[in-house]
Amino acid sequence: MTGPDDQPRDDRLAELISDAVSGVEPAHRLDDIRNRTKATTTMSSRRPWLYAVGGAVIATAAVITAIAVAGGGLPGADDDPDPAAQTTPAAEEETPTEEPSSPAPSASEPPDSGGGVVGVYFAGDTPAGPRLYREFLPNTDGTEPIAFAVDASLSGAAQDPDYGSLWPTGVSATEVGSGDGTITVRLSGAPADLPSGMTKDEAKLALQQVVYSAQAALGEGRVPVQVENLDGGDTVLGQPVAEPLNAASALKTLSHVSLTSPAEGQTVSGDSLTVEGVANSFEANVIVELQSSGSSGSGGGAGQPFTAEDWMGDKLFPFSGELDIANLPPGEYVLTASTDDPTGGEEGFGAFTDSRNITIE
Amino acid sequence: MPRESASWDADAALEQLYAAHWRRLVRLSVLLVRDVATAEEVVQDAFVAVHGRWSGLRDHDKALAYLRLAVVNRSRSTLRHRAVVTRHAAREAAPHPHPGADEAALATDRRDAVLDAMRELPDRQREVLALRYYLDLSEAEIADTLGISRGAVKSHASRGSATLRGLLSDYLEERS
Repeated sequence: MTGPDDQPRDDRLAELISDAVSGVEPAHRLDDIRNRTKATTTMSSRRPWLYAVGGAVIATAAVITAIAVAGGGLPGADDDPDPAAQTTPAAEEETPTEEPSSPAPSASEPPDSGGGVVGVYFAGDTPAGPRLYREFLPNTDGTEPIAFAVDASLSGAAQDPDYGSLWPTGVSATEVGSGDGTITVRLSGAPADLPSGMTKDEAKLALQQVVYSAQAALGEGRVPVQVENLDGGDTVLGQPVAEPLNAASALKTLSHVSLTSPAEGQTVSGDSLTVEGVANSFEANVIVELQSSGSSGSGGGAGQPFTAEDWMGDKLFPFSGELDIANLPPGEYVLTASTDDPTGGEEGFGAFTDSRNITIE
Repeated sequence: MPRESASWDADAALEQLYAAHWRRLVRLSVLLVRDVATAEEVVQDAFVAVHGRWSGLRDHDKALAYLRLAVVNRSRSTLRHRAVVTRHAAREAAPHPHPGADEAALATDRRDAVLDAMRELPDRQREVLALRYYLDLSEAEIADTLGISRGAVKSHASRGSATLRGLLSDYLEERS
């Protein structure tokens, strides 16, 4: 087919190209396809509709910590893990090229070692309502990091049970790509209107899950994200998507503390445990506590402060340090990182926390 | 029972789409990835994906457009992931195992040369040419399928065509 103002087809070339595959007789795969569509139909309800609420509750706890370490960043720790550092709210127009010198977010780089770890933003509960947490997930099958991050973010495939996706089930990204200064995310199965039971803020935050995850995985800074609703319309979850979306204010979107390492469920051994994360906390203090989640032990103690690199500004700053675990009995523990709230919640929201269940061998 | 009827629709639609487009889409993918087994995998995945999205793609044209896009995108990402492997495989396969009659051998050489030449092109140029010359889509349809502008389609098509004409000059002259 040739449109009215199309360039004329080169018929000789067309003939050569068509001829090149004219001998291809593909094997029949309809049965294979049918088998797979049966499987996907029955598995389609596996995703939780909303994130799990609340953190781990520790009945009894023995606190055994810690050494305060000023965070200078370990080798390999990302120095600007927050793709939305100093960004504007999504509603404002801003070109992404404003700060070419700012280090690109490096969510595709693992915080410790080993390849194929991608930072993904999930929703979880905070004193300020649902916010986004970043979790690093292993991407072992070689998927493009950006596609992996968006898929995981939509499906809520978090390792930490406190996290999840705000997106309804059945929404998936059919294409995630980047080029010409824009990230493109094509969604299918996404409701154009606000689903019942979802608030506007949750809808906005759901889109920010995708924006933050895609920007971090691409690692080229705050590249605007053009969301396309393949099912038609210029809205997704009742939010306009005709124009590319920018990352919204970090302090209004993210949990003010997010643990990078250890990972949920990780088993650790040795004399010390490296704790890394990002936070924005009063005077850059981050309280890190390790508590036994077993039935032995009693009481609670003050956690030890880590110091993040800074705390002024609309972004999260890296912190890291070592906990001495040499004398701890093996068992199940909960590691908690909290922002410092000197007012005890009198002013503002109160402390933000992030936690990890770990096993000490 | 809307759920059941939706499911029946998706299955029936899948069979119709398969009957009408399976071979053509595999051939399209071969133009993009060269290897037939890989192309079959890619298109099979695309059919599974279109089935999963049937609720949003109820009419045939939309579903076909989605299938084309899925095949192009999946071919492209397959290429990226297997770049090293396929390059190696192409080298291995270079001496064609069917010498046969001269004419048949010439046809085989020509087809290989075309597929090799396609592999020389940047992704977008290869995709635009496959859609333009093999699926016979208009520039507007290609722009819609790939989500790029008409101008970009024109420029990819003309650059890609020029490169191919250079690479395949022997075959173009021979038959004119």
